[in-house]
Amino acid sequence: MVFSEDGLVGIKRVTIKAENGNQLKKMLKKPFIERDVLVFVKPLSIDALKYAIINKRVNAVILADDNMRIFKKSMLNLLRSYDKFVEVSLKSSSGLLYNAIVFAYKWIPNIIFSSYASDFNEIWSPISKISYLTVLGADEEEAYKFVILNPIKLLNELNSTNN
Amino acid sequence: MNSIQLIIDIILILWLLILTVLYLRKKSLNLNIVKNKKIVRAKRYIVFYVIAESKVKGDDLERVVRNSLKDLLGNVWLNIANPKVVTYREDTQEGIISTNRIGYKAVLASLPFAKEINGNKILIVPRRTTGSLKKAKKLIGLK
Repeated sequence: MVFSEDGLVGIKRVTIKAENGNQLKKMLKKPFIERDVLVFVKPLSIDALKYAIINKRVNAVILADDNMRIFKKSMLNLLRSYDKFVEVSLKSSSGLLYNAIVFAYKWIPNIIFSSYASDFNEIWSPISKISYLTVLGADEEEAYKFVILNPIKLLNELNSTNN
Repeated sequence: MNSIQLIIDIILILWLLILTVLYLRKKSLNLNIVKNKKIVRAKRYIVFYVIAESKVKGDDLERVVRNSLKDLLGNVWLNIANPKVVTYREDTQEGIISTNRIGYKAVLASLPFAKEINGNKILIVPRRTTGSLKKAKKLIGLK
């Protein structure tokens, strides 16, 4: 399943980097945030993360190496209660990926792992993704869920809000 | 008469004692697990195809696959998995990597890290994993 920034392949997505809640609020009102676009937010503060979790227009929150410290226990509990999607890049360090798998078991059932490919040779095949997550400590069934079922679930969510 | 009965009883007790010791020793050593030695050593063949800007050679491909596995999981897993490109069709850019049952997941996980051969961008896509070379060859169109 492809979610691309330019919208040429697959479903169009927009990634917003937010320093705080007000900035995110302003960004979400901009015209490029259309109805059929997936909105991914990379929060850089706890305030922005809280707003991103609560806001229904935000489809997923990005977990990366530079914002790992804001994903504290209280925030993870909030993520679980709002059933929010969390996206992790496969380009991140293996330590972060391992932590993301641990979070997925305890707090975030809706986690997706993206390749963030900018060229054809950076694309990950689903078999390789599942094997990589299995090597990092996930069960095969769970890895299958993270790689194949969760993106479909995210797409269903977008379709149900549009119709 | 009583003494004969006593001897028989002692022999029976000793026999039961020996049986119990043997049973417990077998259980503590987990001798049952060793039964699957053959399965642990079983071979696995990964059928793959290559998407590249220009055609690549089988030898270069094996070097890149081994290097990517070494970068990802180190020398130990490289020696355990020991991936080798056994067959490669340059016309269709399809091939077979041989590995074993323990290391095939490590090889599959390391394939996306093989991104370049001599400045030529490549993508190795695993198609299927099989247990026999005959079936793997059939999948890439060889008899």
